[in-house]
Amino acid sequence: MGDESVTITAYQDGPYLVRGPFRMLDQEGRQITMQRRTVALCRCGKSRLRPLCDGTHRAIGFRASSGTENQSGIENQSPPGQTQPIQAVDLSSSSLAAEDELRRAQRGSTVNANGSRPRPVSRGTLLGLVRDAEQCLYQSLEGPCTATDYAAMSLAEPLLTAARRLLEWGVLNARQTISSGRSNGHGSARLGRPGSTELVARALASAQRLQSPADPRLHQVRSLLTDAKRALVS
Amino acid sequence: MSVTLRSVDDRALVVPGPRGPWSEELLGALVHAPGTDIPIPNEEPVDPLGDDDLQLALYVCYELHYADVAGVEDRWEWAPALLAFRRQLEDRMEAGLERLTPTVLGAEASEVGNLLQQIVAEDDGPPLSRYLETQAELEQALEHVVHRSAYQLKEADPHSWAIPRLSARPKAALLEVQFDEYGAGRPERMHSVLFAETMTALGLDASYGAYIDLLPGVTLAGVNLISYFGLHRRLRGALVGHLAAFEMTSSIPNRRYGNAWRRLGYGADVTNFYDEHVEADAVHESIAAWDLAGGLARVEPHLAEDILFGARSLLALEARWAQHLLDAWRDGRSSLLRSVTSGSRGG
Repeated sequence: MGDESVTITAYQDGPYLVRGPFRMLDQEGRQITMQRRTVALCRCGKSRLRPLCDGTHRAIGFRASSGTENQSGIENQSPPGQTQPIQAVDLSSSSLAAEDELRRAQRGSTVNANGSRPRPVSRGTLLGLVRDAEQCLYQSLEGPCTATDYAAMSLAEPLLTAARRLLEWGVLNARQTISSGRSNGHGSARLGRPGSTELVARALASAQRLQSPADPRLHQVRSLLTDAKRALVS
Repeated sequence: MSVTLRSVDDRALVVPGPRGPWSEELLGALVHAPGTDIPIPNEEPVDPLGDDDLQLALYVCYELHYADVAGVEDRWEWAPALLAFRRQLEDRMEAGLERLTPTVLGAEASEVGNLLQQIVAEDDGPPLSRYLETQAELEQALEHVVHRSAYQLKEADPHSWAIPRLSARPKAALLEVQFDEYGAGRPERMHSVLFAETMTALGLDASYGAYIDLLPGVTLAGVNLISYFGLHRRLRGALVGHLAAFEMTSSIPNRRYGNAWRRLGYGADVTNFYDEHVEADAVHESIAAWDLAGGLARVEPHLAEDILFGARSLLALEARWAQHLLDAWRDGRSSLLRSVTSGSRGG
């Protein structure tokens, strides 16, 4: 790379890096000023600094190979290149396991302690909580930040944290949390998820008691959740 | 600008006040000429990685390699008594790290790039940058800057210790990153200078080490970690892993920090530093993960575990530090040893 040629390197799951004596132009032929010798060009399409990369690919779980992709098209879940996915099997199986746990949790709490039939909280609602919150956050990553964005983020932030913990808790022991949370009110009308505020508040309280760093299950659950989240977002 | 450059050029550390037996023994010795042994205190810190006293002592030991320490003879830098004392501190730091992030054996050298991606993807540290972006009050945002000043005013320097210790390919990758960190030949673009400008624009004291007496052990530990990796050739793998994880987790938080200051009504003179990092670290992260860390693992496969250990150590200490800030703010306390508005030393 010591000669005067321009190179473009595609990095796995990341941007294109351009090195050498190149010029960047807009379509009118005007030069785009570069602040550095090596630049990273956005490959995931979600950067707020396009054509430059701003690291968003990591937030959205962008996947792409470093080399040429094969003609059979995009294979979203399998990491590309010759390197085998480290946890390709775990990824889907642990997501399934998370879903399964949530489904069991749901079944286990169809009747309240007082015998009344509670308002059903579907698995879709739980997953929807996470998805809504994630979407709020990703939108705020993409557009210019306005006061509304900040309001949305302030709203989404605790919800996301709580929803994540709800999922963690759900994997460990969701039955009790959901049945008790369910018998409560319809707090969070703002995001159109009836009952979610109470549900989430209780899950949060329960989960926090479990959040001892010494708990060896925690790490396991966390990676499970990361995988589950990845599957949800894609 | 000229004021800032002068303060950055003047790298002199005012001796901090002692906080306990370890810093008392050290600072007591440093006022004399080098020679006599520095006594090792009997007190064992319960949590060496968060200990205000031990981390301050270690910080001063390391600063001798970076700066003039006022009233301390330069020859202390390599005095056997100092190095013996420092080793005691490092032993405790190392034990703490091993408890916090045990080395995971059996890492495949060819997988280091992928494993780093996985470690970073699974990291779910406390949402400090989101809190700052959306909710933090001015005082809290200022505290964040003060904490960061311990590293950012010498940004990139601790990782430069790796340069003479790497072979050609990883060395070239490291220098590609560092050249950019150091402003690509333009001192006014140097990241440490940009940070000093941010501090000045916020009315903070940008002189080197101005806030040392306010910084808790949990903050100093993060800076000491890099110096510890950097000053030991045997830990070059951990140093490289640290830099890779650092760059890989930088762009998005820095955008949020910049947004935090925009939300609070500040302009480009404050946000330049953060905005620059969004763009720069988006370049650096790929180089650091694949060319530097992956490249080092290819030529020195036995360092694979160290590389990952360095990455995990960074993330674990950052998480502890972030939690410390959020806990303090939740309880309505300052996250510093004293509130920043109570004035910097001598201020």
